[in-house]
Order: sequence, then C-alpha cells, then structure tokens
Amino acid sequence: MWNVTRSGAGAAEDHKLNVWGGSVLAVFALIALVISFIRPGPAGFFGPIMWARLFSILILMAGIGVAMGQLHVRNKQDFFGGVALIGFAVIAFLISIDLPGMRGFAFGPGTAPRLFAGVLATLGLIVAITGLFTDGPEGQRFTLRGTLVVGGALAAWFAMVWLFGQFTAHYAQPLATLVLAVVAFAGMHVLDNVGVRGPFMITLSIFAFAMFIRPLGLVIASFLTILLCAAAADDLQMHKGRATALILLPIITFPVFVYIWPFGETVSVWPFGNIALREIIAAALSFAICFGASPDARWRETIIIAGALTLFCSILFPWGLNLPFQLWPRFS
Amino acid sequence: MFDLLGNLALGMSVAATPTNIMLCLIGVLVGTLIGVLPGIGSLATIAMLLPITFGLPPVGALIMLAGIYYGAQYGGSTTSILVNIPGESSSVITTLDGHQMAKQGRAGPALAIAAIGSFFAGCVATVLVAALGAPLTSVALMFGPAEYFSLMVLGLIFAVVLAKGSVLKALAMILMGLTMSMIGSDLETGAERMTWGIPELSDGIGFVVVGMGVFGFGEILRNLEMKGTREIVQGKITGLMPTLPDLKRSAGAIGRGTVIGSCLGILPGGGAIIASFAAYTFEKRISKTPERFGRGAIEGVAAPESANNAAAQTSFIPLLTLGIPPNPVMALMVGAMTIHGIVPGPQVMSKQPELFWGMIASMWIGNLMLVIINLPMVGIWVRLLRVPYRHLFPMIVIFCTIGIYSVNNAPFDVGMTAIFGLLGYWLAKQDFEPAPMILGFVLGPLMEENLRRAMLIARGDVTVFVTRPISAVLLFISAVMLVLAMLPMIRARREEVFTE
Repeated sequence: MWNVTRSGAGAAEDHKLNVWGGSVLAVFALIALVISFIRPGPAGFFGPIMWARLFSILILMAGIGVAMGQLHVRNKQDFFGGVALIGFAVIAFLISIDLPGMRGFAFGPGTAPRLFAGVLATLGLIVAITGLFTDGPEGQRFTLRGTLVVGGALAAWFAMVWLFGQFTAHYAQPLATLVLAVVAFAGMHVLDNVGVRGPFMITLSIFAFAMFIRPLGLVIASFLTILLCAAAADDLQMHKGRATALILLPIITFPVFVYIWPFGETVSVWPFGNIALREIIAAALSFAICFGASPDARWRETIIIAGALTLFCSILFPWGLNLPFQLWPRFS
Repeated sequence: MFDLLGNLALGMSVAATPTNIMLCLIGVLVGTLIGVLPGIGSLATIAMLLPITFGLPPVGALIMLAGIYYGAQYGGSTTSILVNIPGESSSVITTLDGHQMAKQGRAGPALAIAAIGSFFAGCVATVLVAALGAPLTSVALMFGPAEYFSLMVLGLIFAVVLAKGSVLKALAMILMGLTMSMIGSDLETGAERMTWGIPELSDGIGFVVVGMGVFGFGEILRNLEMKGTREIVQGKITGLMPTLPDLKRSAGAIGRGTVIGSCLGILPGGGAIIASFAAYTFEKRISKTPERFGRGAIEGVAAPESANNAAAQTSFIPLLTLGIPPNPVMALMVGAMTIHGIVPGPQVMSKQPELFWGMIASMWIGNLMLVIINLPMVGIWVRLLRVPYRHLFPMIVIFCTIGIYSVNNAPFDVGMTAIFGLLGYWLAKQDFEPAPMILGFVLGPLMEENLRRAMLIARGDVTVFVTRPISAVLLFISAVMLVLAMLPMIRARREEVFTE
C-alpha cells in the first residue's frame, strides 16, 4: 500500500498520485452526500445532517482541488490524515443520524456521539489545513496498485461469500476465506510487486482464524493461521510450478471428495452432511501436502514450526489453561 | 502510619500464601518472557496473557496480572540493552547507554543495575501507593459527576501533552477514540448507536480488541517492514554484578529517577514513557560529565529504568482510588478486573481490603523476584533473542489471536482485531500517536456518563463545570497545560526531550 519514495520522484508520478488521491476523496464525499440526501434524519437545518453535508462538500472540494492540481499539498501526511479523520467523522454523523438528540436539558443517545464527531471533524479540518501550509516529510505514500489489490481482495471475498452462499449458507465465509488464502499463496509474487505482502498476509491470517475456528476447531485453524502468517515474511518465496499446483490441487481433489468419497449422509465415519465442508477439508489438506512435499528448505522449516506451534497451542490453551476450546472439526 | 503498617501486614498475609507467591512468580516469568520479544509492549503482553488468568480467583488473577505487567516492563529493558531494539516504548531511552555498555562487554552490570534500580523504585512506589491510597480515596468520595468529567479531561490533556509529536494531531486522536467508544448500546436508553445493525457490535468494541489490534498487530505490521539488522551482543556475558564505583555512581541516579517516575506516574495520562525520558534528560543535565552519556554511562541506564518502573507502579494509584485508568495498560487492568467482577474505584479499598492490599504487597514480592530470577536467566533471554523474527512473529500472532478469541469465544472479535491492526498501521504511517486514541476510547463511556449526569443534576447549566471549585481547578490546569504545550518555546523544548 505504501512505497518509500526515492528522492526526486518524477513530477509525472506526483501528478498521477494527486489525481488518484483527489479522486478517491471526491468519490467518498459524493457517496456521503448522496447518502445524506437519501436518508435525511429527523434533525432540522442546523442538525447533524447539515454538518455531514457541509463536511462532505469540504472533502469534495478538497478532492477536486487536489486532483486538478489547484491545491498544492505540502505535507501529505497531515493533509490526507486530517481529511481521513473528517471522513471518519462524516461516517459517524451519517450512521448516528436517527438517534434522538437533546430533550430539554437531558442528553439523548445521539448527543454525545455527534458532539464528539463534530469536534473530531473540526480538528481534522485544522490538521488538514496545517498540511497545506507547512512542509512535512516526503516519506511514504499510497500506491495505486497496492490499494487496488487490497480492495479487490475484499470485493472478491464478498462476491465469493455471496456465490458460495447460494449452495451452503453456513460455510460460505470460511470457504471464501480459504479460496482467498490459496490464491494469495499462489499469487505471492503479485503481492510482493505491489508491496502489500506483510499487511495483507497477516490480516488475512487473523481473519482466517476467525473464520475457521468454529467449523474446523483449534488444531486446523491455528495451523493454517500460522502458515498464512509466516508467509508475510518476504524471504519466503513461491515457485511458479508450486503456485500452479496449489491452485490445481483443490480443483482436482474437489470431485474426489464429492463423488468418490461415497459417504456423508449415510455413514457417520466422516460426519459431514455438507459438500462445502469436504471442500474446505480438501483444500486445507492439499494446501498442507503441497508445502510438505516441497524441496525448499524454508518452506519445510516453516511447516515444521507451524506444526510444533500448533501442537503447543493445542495443549496449552485447552488443557494447560483449561479454556473451552473445540479441538477438531465438528459439523452439524 | 500505624494504619499503613497494619494494612501492609494484611496485604502480606494475603500475598505471601504459597499459591499467590506461585502465581506472582509465574506472572513475572511469563511477563518477562513475552516482554523480551521485540515489538511487544506491556499492553500487548497483558492482552495476550489475559486468558491465562481467567480460571483464577480474583486476588490471584490480579496478582498475576500485576506480575506480568512489571515482568514485561523489565523484559523490555533487557531487549533494549542486548539488542538495541526497545522491547517497548518506555525503554527506548535505555538503548542509548544500555546497548553501548553491552557493546563494551558490560551487559551484565547494565542488566543488573536495571534490575536493582527497578527493584528500589518498585519498593518506594509500593509504599507510595499504600500511603496515598487512603487519602486519595477520601478525596474521590467528594467527587461528583462534574469533577469526574473534569478529571478525565485533565487526564486526556495530559496524554496529549505527554505524547510525542504534534499536539493537534494527538487531540484529534483523542476525539477519534471518543467517537469510536460511542459504538454500542446507549447506557441510559439502550438505543443502538452506530452499530450498522450488527448484533456483535451492540455491546461495543472490546478494549482488548482495540488495544491488541493497534498495539499488537499494528506493531508487527510495522516491524515486518523494517529491514534493520539486529545486532545481538555475541559471546558469553560475564561479570554480572556491577562494581563498587558503578553502584556509587548510579545510587543518586536511581534515587532521582524514582522520584521523577513516581510523580509522573500518578498524573493521569502520564506514565512510564515520559518518566524515563524525563529522568534521562534530567540526569544528563545535572551530570558533571554529560559527554559520557550515550557512550555507556551507567547512570543513563539506572535513572530511566528506575523512573519507568516507579511510574508503572504509581499509575495504579488513580485506577485503584479514583477508578480512572491513567494509561492504556491500566485500562486493560480495568477490563481484567471487570471480568472478575471487581469495579475499580474508591470502593475497592473499603469493600475488598484483602484484594487491594494483597495486590500492593505482591508488588513488593514481584519486584524482589525480578531481581533474583532474572539475573541468572539473562542467558536464556539472550538465546530467545537470537530466534529470527520470521519465526517469532507467527508465534506472536497466533497467541494473540487465540487470546482474543478466548476472551469471549467470539470469532467476530478476532476479525475486528485484524481491522484495528490495519488502523494502527495506518495511524503510524500518517504519524498519528495511537496512545491518546486508546485512552480516549477507554474513557469515552465514562466521560459521557458523567457529562450527562452532571448536566442533568445542574438542569442543563453548562457553567457547573467552572462553578464547582475542584472541577474548575482541574479544568484550569488542563487549559494551562494545553496552552503551554502549544507555545512555540515550550514546544521546541518538548521536541528536544523526545528526540534526544
């Protein structure tokens, strides 16, 4: 998402970034404005809705100004930080608009949130204005591709949840997360190229734990989490061949699980009544097999560490600390 | 005075039972173990280890948590001295002289003096907590909602003034924390606020989630980007004990550091970070040979280490007497106490004396343990530090993740933590300090409650905050502090302290 800019980065590059940054602001402001008109609250002219609109219009103007090159931002850190805070406050305004405010001299539930959001927006405005008039470190900035990859991954996840939800409502989220994880593994060089590997993989690994812990239990969930997390270190590389195998393996094993594995509804040895679950297990296993069989020392080391750590966690938390954890997959 | 001794005796009788000594020992050990890992501060350490205290009785749990806290604090200095990477922000300043000493082959004395200084400071601070507890509690009983509100304003202003970087941005961070803390059900009407209809949010966002995300995961994301080489002191560390001249030199520094640390620790919003900076700067200024600082002066280790430990312990005072957490770590302690059904505040001391005094007495025992245990264990910590970071961070992530999950057994919390991790990363990138935000987040609901109550009692009269004397004084101090921090001259000095 961020790249360290080399000294003397071209003016063209700078221009591109301004257009991009400004447009993002403008689009955000437009969306906020539209929402404020679709969903006007009960408040009057000077009510919260007016504040939300006022600050949205400010952001819109700032965005257009930056994109057109009219507004020269000297301290990008402060300017965009401040504008983001205003944006945060606008969102807070918009979602607390229905809450009743003051009743006589008694606070309503909406008073304090809007009070805080109002002050936040004002402070954000001052921070942003300071960013226009003082010089700041020309350090790190957003890169377009990094943001697109992260945004795209998020959109893909939601799309997959919807898609899988058509077949299996209960397991749509874990399944979508797993697919995302496999693709992220296979496309690691892409993540490296856009410079978002660390944040992407770690966030994904934590999400993965959240998604897997209920259906898959502690052992598999933590193993996968550790594996994903370890991949955030950029000295862990993925060969093209293995990446292809990683994508192909689940696809090949899918029919095996669905058609050749004959039980499910009738035999309770493998007690899943649900195809998506077999797919999750299949993908998880192939995921592990794929790396276990790899000749690369770093991967083998990582797998061993992940295994040892998983074992340690599975002993420590449920037994050592006596916390209620479900260890193995359990399906309804 | 007699009262004090009687109370401490009661505390000792609680803390010195075999079980509680054992819990204290485990807490100190585990706290140091995690605190030694670079990039994990005491906040993340406590959050991570919170689950291990769930099954314990309240007194034992608090004793263990306190042990974890100063264990982590001490572990942080070990990392500073040996690796030149501060284990946490309060030991940043220790790297200056501590690591230089280690390079000169005097890692042993540096670690020892850090431990001895911490022990001395801890002892003094413990007595201070005990002595100030009762009088402050009686002050707290005179506080009405208006005073509480003003006190929290003061705390937040202190957090702004004492944070490094721009005052304006720190203020903005506080407001961001306050706004975020409004998510969840309204206390009085039960109305859902800013929850987007998500049922998991109706209880608000847990403090552990925010703290762990911003300070734990956010830190890891940043560490991964830093390609710095870690120069660990190689070779065997010999000669642990400091020589007589060393001790003579550092005696004064330890004393002064303790005083500075104790004072700054009590202030709401203050805490260990500013204490260590202030003690170091002060020591350098009064030294006859200031040029030795930065080149392995033992005072440069002794003073900040005593100061941060003293501050870490005196910061329990506002929590235990007023019920207001003065810093994020204490806020986490509030969370831990609530899990055990204890509401921190003036009533703890009168209603559960054995808990209050037991915890205070255990601080003594814990500090003694730190000295005795840690010096022989330095070798183990060094070996731990040689583990490459690429193996450490998956470990940290999985422990944190499981820890958060086990607080409520809620996958939703885990996902939220990931989002807050990204937020912490973004804040660091935009040069916003996360500490004031966390404090605002913690105090938000309390502030709103007291503000509402004060307004209701005063029948909507805003002047109540300046007509009641205590409240007026508190607000006046906050205003003065804020103005002072904004003044160009003071601002330059403030920056000087932080860059040194």
